[in-house]
Amino acid sequence: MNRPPYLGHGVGLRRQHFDRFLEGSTRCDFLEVISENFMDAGGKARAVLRRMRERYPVVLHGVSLSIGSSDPLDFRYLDSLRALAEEIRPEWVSDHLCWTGADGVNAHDLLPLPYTEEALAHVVERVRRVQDRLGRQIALENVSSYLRYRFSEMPEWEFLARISEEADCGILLDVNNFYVSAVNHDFDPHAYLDGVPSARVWQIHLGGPSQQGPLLIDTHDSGILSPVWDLYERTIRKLGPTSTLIEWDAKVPAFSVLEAEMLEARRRHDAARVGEESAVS
Amino acid sequence: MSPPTLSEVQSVLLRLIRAPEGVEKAVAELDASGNGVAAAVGRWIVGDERLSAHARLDVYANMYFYRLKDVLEQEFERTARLLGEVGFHNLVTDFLLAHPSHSPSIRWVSRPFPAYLAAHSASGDFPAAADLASIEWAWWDSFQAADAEPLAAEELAAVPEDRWADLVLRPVPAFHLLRVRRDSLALWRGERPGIDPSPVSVAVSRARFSPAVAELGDREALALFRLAAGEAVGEVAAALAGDDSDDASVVEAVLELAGYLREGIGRGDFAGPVS
Repeated sequence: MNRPPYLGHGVGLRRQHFDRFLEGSTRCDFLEVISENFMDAGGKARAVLRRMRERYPVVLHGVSLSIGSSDPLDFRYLDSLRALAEEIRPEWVSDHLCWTGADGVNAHDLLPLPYTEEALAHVVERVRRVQDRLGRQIALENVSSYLRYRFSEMPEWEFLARISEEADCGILLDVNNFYVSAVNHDFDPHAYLDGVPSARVWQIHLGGPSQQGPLLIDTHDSGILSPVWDLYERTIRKLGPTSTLIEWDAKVPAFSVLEAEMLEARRRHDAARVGEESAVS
Repeated sequence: MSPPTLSEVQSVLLRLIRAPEGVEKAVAELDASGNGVAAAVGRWIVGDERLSAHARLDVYANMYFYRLKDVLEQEFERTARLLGEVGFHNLVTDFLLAHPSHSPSIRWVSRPFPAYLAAHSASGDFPAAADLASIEWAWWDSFQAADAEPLAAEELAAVPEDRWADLVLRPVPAFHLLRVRRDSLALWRGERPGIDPSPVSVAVSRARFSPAVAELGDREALALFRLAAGEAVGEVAAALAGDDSDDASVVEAVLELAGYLREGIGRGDFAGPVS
């Protein structure tokens, strides 16, 4: 599988910043939008997206594919996503390796799967059908988790790697998410990173979690933690140049704060690349 | 013991996550009915010295509730303020039990909320709340509704005279007509009205990006409700003319309707092309 082109560094397009984006240029290399917010919707959000598509590469990121659900795939949803993709022409389309609902009910949350052979076969078969329906490959993102299953048969990174290989899809590697899960479940985040197949990673997410009691929760409401920056640099040294996006969805700050976080990611990305090249030479 | 199936795990966990009074209580209730859930959750989910399996599930239960409550609170901001923090919290708890989301988009969670509120005990204390929620939902829906090519005045003017009576106009998805209590409209406007259950008609239109909520006169409301229901222009003009079927009354009604159409087209309420 060929990795898609390196886009640079970007941010999520959120309505709190619509006017800032309309006013003029930013230092973003690309933008990511939540697919469901634009499917079957018009008005200002859609108009802003069309305008931004003229200025930036855009990637579509979904939250309701529910690829791991035991419910049937929702083909109406997929057709709506395909229609949006045909209009917006994103660089790629992604969603999460999780389930978001069952028995016809959507929890609108990213719920973790058990890492079993049954779940793996189920997800692989569904990713293939989704890719057929959309007429394109997709990337799946690892989610943060606050629980794990006793009957899992493999570590998460092996589950993620095998799905990407067997379904022939990409990976959206959220560095914060595997750090959060590592803290919550006492595993080594470096082992996670080592287990991810580099050639499959299309994009990286970075975001800020919050401490709630003994757990870290993926709240996307703050800046990136210091150990996550360190992991990010290590990730870039392993993967090479990789499109990176800052997520900030709650307590959304002024655009300048978000942009500064993105510029810090770019600085660390480029420094890690220099380090990597020096080591090679 | 063989591991549970994916379907079995997801059904049970979602049931526990959606339980209104926490996972611990939901597990106990299910166990009391001979369900054996407590043992299953213990077998399925890892608990440790930091947090029990139930407490870990509770993290998801809290996120489920508060994520959806936040959406409802944002879309029904005035209604939430009217009901107060506790009243709104309890209403949302009951609502989510009755109307869990069935849509991939979180946007549609709020659609049944005004009708649910109308039948809820909270409406006994706040009789204007349900209609206020209807206005708020119509505003949000208008804000996000799918785009449609608006009908142009020139296009309507080009319709041959002999086709006018049979002409049917389609409202754009962003256009809403409501009939609400007058005090709910006042609350929407930020006023502090006394109780006033008298009915008033309201149109929600989206000119460019920002929806506007406007009170309609009785005759304009009569015309717009009929047009939106798919009645032909001739039928609507006849309704405006009422029992006076003499030529002068009919001409007056047609002119009156033309005025409403001009205003509606100016606001972008109708979709083109005409059929």
